[in-house]
Amino acid sequence: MTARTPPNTLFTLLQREMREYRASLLWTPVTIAAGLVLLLSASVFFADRISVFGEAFMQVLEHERSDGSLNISISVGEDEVTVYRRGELDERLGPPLDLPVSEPEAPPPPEAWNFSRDWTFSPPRAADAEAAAAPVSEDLGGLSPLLNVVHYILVLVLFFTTANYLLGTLFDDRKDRSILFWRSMPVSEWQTVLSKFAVVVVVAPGVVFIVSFVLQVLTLALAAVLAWRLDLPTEKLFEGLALGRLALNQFGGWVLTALWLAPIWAWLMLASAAARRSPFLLAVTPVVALAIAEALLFGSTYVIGAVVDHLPKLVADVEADPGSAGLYLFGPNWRAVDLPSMGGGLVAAGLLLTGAVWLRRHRWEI
Amino acid sequence: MSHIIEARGVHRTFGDIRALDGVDLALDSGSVVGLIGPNGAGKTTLLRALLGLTACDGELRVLGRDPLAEHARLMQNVSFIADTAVLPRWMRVEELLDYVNGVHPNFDRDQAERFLATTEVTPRRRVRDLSKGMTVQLHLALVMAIDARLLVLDEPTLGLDILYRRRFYEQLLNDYFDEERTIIISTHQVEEVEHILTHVVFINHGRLVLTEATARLEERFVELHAVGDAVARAEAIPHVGKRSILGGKAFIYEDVDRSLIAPLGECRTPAVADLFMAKVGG
Repeated sequence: MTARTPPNTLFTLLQREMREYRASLLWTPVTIAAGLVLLLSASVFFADRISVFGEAFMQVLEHERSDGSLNISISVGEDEVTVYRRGELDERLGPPLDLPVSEPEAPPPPEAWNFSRDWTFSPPRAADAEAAAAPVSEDLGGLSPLLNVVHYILVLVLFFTTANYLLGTLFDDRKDRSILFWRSMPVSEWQTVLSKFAVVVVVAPGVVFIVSFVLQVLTLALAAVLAWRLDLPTEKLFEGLALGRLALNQFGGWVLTALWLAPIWAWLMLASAAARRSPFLLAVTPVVALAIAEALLFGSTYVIGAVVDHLPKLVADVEADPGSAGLYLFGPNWRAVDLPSMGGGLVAAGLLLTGAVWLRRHRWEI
Repeated sequence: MSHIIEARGVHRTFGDIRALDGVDLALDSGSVVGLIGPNGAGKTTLLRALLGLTACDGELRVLGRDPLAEHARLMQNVSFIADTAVLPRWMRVEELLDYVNGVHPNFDRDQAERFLATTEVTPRRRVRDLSKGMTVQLHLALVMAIDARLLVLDEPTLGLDILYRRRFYEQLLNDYFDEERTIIISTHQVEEVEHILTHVVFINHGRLVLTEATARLEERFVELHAVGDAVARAEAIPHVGKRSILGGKAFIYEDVDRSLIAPLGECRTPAVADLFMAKVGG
């Protein structure tokens, strides 16, 4: 009895997961990224909507004006893409950047800058100008916020696809009885459960980060095209854009998020391993019931608080919302991490995964 | 040498139901064992206990290991087909081969591919698009390409037509079985496996009713076909079972003095199915 090809269990298990969930873990982020690129392209080539690209253009425009007496503000509230036909567009555009810099006090001629309804020129107000520039710190300037936004759109989608994956992954094979095949292979349930956990922590995010990288490069390219079309100085646009720092923040943000989310993921896996009908209901019902019971009996909200602490949320201001799980638009803040809460979560994650393994071994039959 | 399987006083209860009620079993390599019992007799529970898929009390060793605690390691040398149609339906055939090749140290991919080349199962097809017969062929191809010491088959041919069933057992016997291996087959279609079995194990209500080498069945049991007046005299001799046949009755005796019954009619070795009916069906 000779061993043939040496088995590569970890790789094979991960490959198996990615093959089974190819649609949600691979094609979903790719499709959404493609959609975002299309949307950005449409805004660049048909509408010349600078607002899509955020404050970077504004800064450049501001920079262009020597005296800085004019303030440009953008309304980011409405997001519809205005599509013009080519001829119409040129006509509407006119000489868009014929800015009346020499006469700062005079109101600019409307047709000279009215290339987007979102743009308004307003008289200088120092406070506004400062406020507008405030979120863009020195080393994260320029287009960074936009790149972060497209990145975190993908991360947000990742939260949903991974939750869906986790709820199904230890349930579907029991439902269709293919677990009887998987368990006929020399793979322990620890290997199975941990490989599935690794998919959520490493592999699926890895895919998203690669897709996100391509998407961010394309976004920069589109920004350059837009700048060129509007005859803006491209180098100014990319000034202060620290791509390395940006990537590091996005990666670090994920590490922090993963540390926070670990117990939630493990809980979803436990529900998936335990469910006889609906893993989703099994995951949600006990938490809701516990929270209601707590509120009725003690009038407190520790359960909800603990769960919310570990749920991802938009963290736009690291100072106001320190160290909890989230989409860190301006990078993670490691110093503010609530270590006891995070540590408790990691211990809970370990226990929950152990529970999932036990269920796989002893209570797998539906 | 030590036994491939050693069970002593194995029992398992589900609520009030005793699925296994004190099972003792010792099997050596080189045997083909038919595990035969009615529905709910505890066949599947016993097989799952052997495979480490369910916990049980008592002493149980398979290839010298505790099947539940050392399940994954045991599976390097044990294969099983637990049911028809348990192969993951979303997978392509080649992906399935990739998987087994990737996790199993004793799998010979070339052999599995050679076997599949003789069937209609092509690498790009998905399991869900295969017919039931082809799915079983695929599973058999995987299992036969695994160099295992014990193969457990739980109703492997359920729902297959007779052509597939015949072919299944033929291939198993010709291309797989040897002195080093042990095969345990649980099936309702006893007639189809009878000729390949070296041992039979009858199980009913969680107890083993009979464990015997098929070669010894001939010595222990005899079936008498009595017609006419002989029926009454045959009935008077203690028997384990009887049934009606054309023009008379067939009796099955256990450890009986042959000279006593020989004059009463035609004697023969009972078929396993008839013996099972006699021992279990009463």
